[in-house]
Amino acid sequence: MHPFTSFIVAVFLLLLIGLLCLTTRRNMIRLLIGVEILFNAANLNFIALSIQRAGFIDPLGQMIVLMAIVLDGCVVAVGLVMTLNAYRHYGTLDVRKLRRLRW
Amino acid sequence: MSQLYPLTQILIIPLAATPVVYLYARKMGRSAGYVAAIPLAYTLLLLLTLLPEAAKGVKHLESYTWAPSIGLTFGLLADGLSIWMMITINLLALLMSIYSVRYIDHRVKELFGGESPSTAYASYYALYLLYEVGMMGTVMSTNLIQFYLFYELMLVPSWLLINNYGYGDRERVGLLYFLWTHVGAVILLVGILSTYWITGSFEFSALSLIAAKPQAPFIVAAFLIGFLTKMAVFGLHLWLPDTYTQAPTSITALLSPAMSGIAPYAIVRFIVVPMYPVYQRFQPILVAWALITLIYGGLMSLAQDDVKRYLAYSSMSQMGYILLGVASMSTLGTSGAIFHYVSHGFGKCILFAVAGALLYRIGTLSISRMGGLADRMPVTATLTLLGIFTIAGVPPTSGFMSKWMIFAGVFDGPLSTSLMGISAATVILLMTVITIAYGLWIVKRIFFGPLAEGLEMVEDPPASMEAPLIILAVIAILVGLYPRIVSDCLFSALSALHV
Amino acid sequence: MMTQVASPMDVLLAYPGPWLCWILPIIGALITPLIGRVSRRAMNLSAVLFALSAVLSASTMIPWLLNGRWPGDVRLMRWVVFPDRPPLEVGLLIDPLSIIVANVVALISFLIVVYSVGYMHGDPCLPRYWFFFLFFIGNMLLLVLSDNFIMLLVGWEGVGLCSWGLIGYYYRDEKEYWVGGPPPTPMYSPSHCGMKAFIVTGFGDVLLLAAIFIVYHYAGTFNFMELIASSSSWLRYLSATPGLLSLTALLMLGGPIGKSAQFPLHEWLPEAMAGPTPVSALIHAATMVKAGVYLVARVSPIFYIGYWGLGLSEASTFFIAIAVIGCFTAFLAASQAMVSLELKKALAYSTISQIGYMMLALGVSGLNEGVYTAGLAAGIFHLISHALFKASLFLCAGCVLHAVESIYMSDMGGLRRVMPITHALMLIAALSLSGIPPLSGFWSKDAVLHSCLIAGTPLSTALFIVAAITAAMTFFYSIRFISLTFYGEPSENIEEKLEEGHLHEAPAIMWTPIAILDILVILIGLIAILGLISPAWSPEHFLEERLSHSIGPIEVMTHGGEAPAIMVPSISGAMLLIGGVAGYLLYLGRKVDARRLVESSPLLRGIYTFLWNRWYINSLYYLIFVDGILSLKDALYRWLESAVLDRGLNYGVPRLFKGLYHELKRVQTGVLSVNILYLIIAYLVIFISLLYLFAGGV
Repeated sequence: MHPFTSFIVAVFLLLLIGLLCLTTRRNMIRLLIGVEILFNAANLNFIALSIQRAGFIDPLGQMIVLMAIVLDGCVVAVGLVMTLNAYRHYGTLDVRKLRRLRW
Repeated sequence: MSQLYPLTQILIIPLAATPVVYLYARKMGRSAGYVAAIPLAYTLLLLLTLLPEAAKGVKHLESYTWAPSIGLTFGLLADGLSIWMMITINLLALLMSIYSVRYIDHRVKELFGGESPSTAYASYYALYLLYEVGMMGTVMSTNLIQFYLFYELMLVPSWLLINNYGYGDRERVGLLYFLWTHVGAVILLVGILSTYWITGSFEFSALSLIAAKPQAPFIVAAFLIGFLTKMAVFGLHLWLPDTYTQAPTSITALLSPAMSGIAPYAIVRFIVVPMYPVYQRFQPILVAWALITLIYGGLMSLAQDDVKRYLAYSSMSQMGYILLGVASMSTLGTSGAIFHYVSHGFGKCILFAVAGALLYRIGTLSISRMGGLADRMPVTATLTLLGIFTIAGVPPTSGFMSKWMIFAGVFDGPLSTSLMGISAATVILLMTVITIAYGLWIVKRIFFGPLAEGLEMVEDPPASMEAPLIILAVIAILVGLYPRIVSDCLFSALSALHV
Repeated sequence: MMTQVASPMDVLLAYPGPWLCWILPIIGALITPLIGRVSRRAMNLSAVLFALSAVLSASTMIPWLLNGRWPGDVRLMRWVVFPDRPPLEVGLLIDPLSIIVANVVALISFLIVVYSVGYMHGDPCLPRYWFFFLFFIGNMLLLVLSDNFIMLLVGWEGVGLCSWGLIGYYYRDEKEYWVGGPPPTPMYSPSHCGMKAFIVTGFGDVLLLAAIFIVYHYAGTFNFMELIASSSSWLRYLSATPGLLSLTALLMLGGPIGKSAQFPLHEWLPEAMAGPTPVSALIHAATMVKAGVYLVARVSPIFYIGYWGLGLSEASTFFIAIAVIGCFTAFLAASQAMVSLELKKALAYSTISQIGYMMLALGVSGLNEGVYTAGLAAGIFHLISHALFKASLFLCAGCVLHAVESIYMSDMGGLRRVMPITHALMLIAALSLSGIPPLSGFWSKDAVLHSCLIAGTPLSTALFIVAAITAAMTFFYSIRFISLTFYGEPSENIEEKLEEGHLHEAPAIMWTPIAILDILVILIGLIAILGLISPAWSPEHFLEERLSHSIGPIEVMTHGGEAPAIMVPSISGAMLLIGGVAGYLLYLGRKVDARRLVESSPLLRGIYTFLWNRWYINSLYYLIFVDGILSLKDALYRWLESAVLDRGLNYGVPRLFKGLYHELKRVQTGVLSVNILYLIIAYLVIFISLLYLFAGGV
């Protein structure tokens, strides 16, 4: 298979795994990991798109990924802080406890 | 005269007076009613100066550019059709402003005990003036968007007035009124927008261009539904009893005759004049609907114990008459309908004001607790009688003139071409006996017979509440004696109608 | 003849009499109550003077009547201007018919005003009384003199209004003013009676309105003269629709039937007796109820032209209908008068019956081409004659009621000795009512019967027979009420009053007008006797000659069928004999006890009950219209308005939306996984729609 196609398939699979994790897992840490997987899927997408033309690697895609990885670090940090606060407030890592944003 | 832009003044001056009245009322309290009457009296004078021209058929138009990109101009029109609408609204607003002085004082004291906030009177009179401006603007408009603007604009102050100063379940009723009218207005908006989509213009003159299009019946239907909701015909009348009953009486005296009657005016302006051939197809439905409204309103009014609720259903029945005139498809009938708007305005205002006076003096509006009041309140009894006679069409009041014109119109239009049509028209006429029946019934129940218990101390309401009513009654009789004041204007505007 | 002048002032100055005739009483109605604030006597004087001014103004028209040249249609000013047809003008039609009726009305009104000053002495609400009374006089004269339908309607409804106000005069509904009874027969309060009158006549008015506007649609004018002049054109258009002319005729009769209390709209008049007696005399005997007769006479030329001039067969419906209704009503009411217990009720039924005679004459006039003027003259002659003697009867009844303080004849009796003047006056009037020669009633009633006979059709002969029988009944009930009141043994009530010394003759101010009326009755009778010798003096001949011009330009055959001149008097004489013998036996001579006679035979008892209950018509009307509507309104309000409509829309719709909201808000669970799911779905939807929009599908 053309490497581009396999990349896209991988992106799709990663998306699926990430979304599946978000919808079916209760543990907040696992949700963060799910978010990470999604994030990686997006990055992989960019990489894939940067090599889709034979014989040319688009530097823009690779640059975006590099910057994204840095930002991802911040996102994870904030996410972990929120998880920590939630744990302190509710005494558990079950995300189903955070239900106040409803009717 | 046009150099002074009277119509613009009529719109702007009460608007400008609103903050003045508000501030005055915060300081001086209830006498703000007299102050609010001053701009209204001035605008009435302006209208009267425009009257002779309108009677000859001259149209007085003032227009300003508003949104040139979509071709909107802000226009103010006074012609034979609208002049008397404006005079009636203005006159009623003026007189009810004076009437409100005592009445709202009483109501505010009821609402707040002794501790009325300074804004109680202020917001009433300010909203009152805004309401009047809204109504005047509606009648003066020359294009659909402007009409719609003022149509919704008069909704807000009246809703607030009901919400703050009404009786009983006033918040709910205010919302009820607002939503019902608003739904009707939105249906109207559908019609307006379709008009724009087809003709590219919002002006009234553009409406006649739709007449030949296949979508015309639907547009007419949309307009009609919107206006019939405002007029509270049978089926669409459910907002009326509660609203008129729970609203403060001085406001009901404006809501009932003045505001509800803008709908038939709009029907004439939008549909009857420009789109007559399309409109003719609706005649059987409208005539039947008018008849049902008439009878139903009359019967329902007989079943009431509360005076204001009784008058509310009576208003519904009278709107049936006006709809009948509009549905008669003839110049005579349509003119009679607008003329009846004027007469009904006089009469119904008197009657609602009397209801307010009864509430003021007796403290209750329950008919079963009244009786034999003619001895103690002779002036009120006479005024009630005159009010009843005006809406029932007994000479020498103006109601007689307007009623016979509507009847003549019913027989003059397409209905008279077949025996079936004539028999139907005769049945319609027979049903009008119900008006005099329920009118005399209430006079008997309230004023005749032995004096009811607990009413020994009752007497006539104070002069500031009675004087406006006496003025109205006198005007009703004068117009009845010299109907040309009104009929000339109407015929000059509607003469092209009779096919 | 039409006069169109530039300035209204010129018109008023040219013919002041007719205009002032109706304007002055209306001005008087407004001024007199105000004067009442200053002084009572001045107020009474003012009322008398205004009524007198009406009489004087009306009498200025008499020379025109006598010398045969009258102004005709006099227009004053334009009242409503229409864009596409001739304007509606304020104007008066001065011709023999209106002159005669106007004078009768004005004179009787004046006499009754004078009587009222005595009768209503001491009443606290007199200003209101005078207002309605004078306003009534003005409106009645306006009705009679107007030249178009709309002005006639103004007067017509105006008199209806005053009638309501005066019947319900004692609006406090004190027990002593209630009519009806004695229990278990229902009794009605004055305010109820006023309402009943207004509504029943209003019913008839509406039918009249329909007819007027149908005619207006085809003729384009409301003016009587113009309608008659152009009748050949618009009547043809009208009759082009089959059935329309008959319908119009019947509708046109609706107003007179209501106002003149004919069957089926006759039930308001007996209750109208709740008003003070001068009111009953003026409005419900002499004037307002004659308005219907006047209107029938006014419009009958149109239908006459339609039938005999243009050959439109439907036009005869007008004459047939009114003749049959008039005759039937005469019989119906006379039968009820025979058993009535209240004095004024007996007189009320008698009025209904006599007006039936007038309507009969007017109806019969169109059944035969040559009888028209005879019938018209007979009807109007009977109108004049009846107005005089019925007003007299009522005023005498007022004197009696005033003295006896009860409305029931069972509380009277033997008053002949105590009130001799009233007795004499009432007797004369009652004899005239019965048609005893040589009083005016004899001549006028025989004129009616004569015109029935000479009309010659089978219908008119049948009506003649019924009318003759009614004449017998008339004499019978006249003897009855006179005997019960003035003859026989005094009742307990009378005995008591005699002992207390409260019973005395009426004051002069009250019996003088009655005397004047009776003198006129006798005078007309004497003139008619002269007329037998020399035709120029005969009232009937005079009326016929004058009224023949009211048909306008159409030439009318003045003599139709012939009948032997002696036939009618002999038949009516025979009827009088029958009625008189029966009356004498039962009441005057007390040879047979009426009560035992009735109770002895079940048939008679049945008839008595039937008549006492007013042929059950009144109860039927109350059942259908009053009870029916009352229960309908309650049922409609409870089951339709409140339960279905109000609850459905005002409560149901919000509840629907609230329910919807409650269900839909469950979508927001707050659970993260669910939200993510929504996200996924949303993205899928966007993705697929983007595919379709831009890539043409998958």
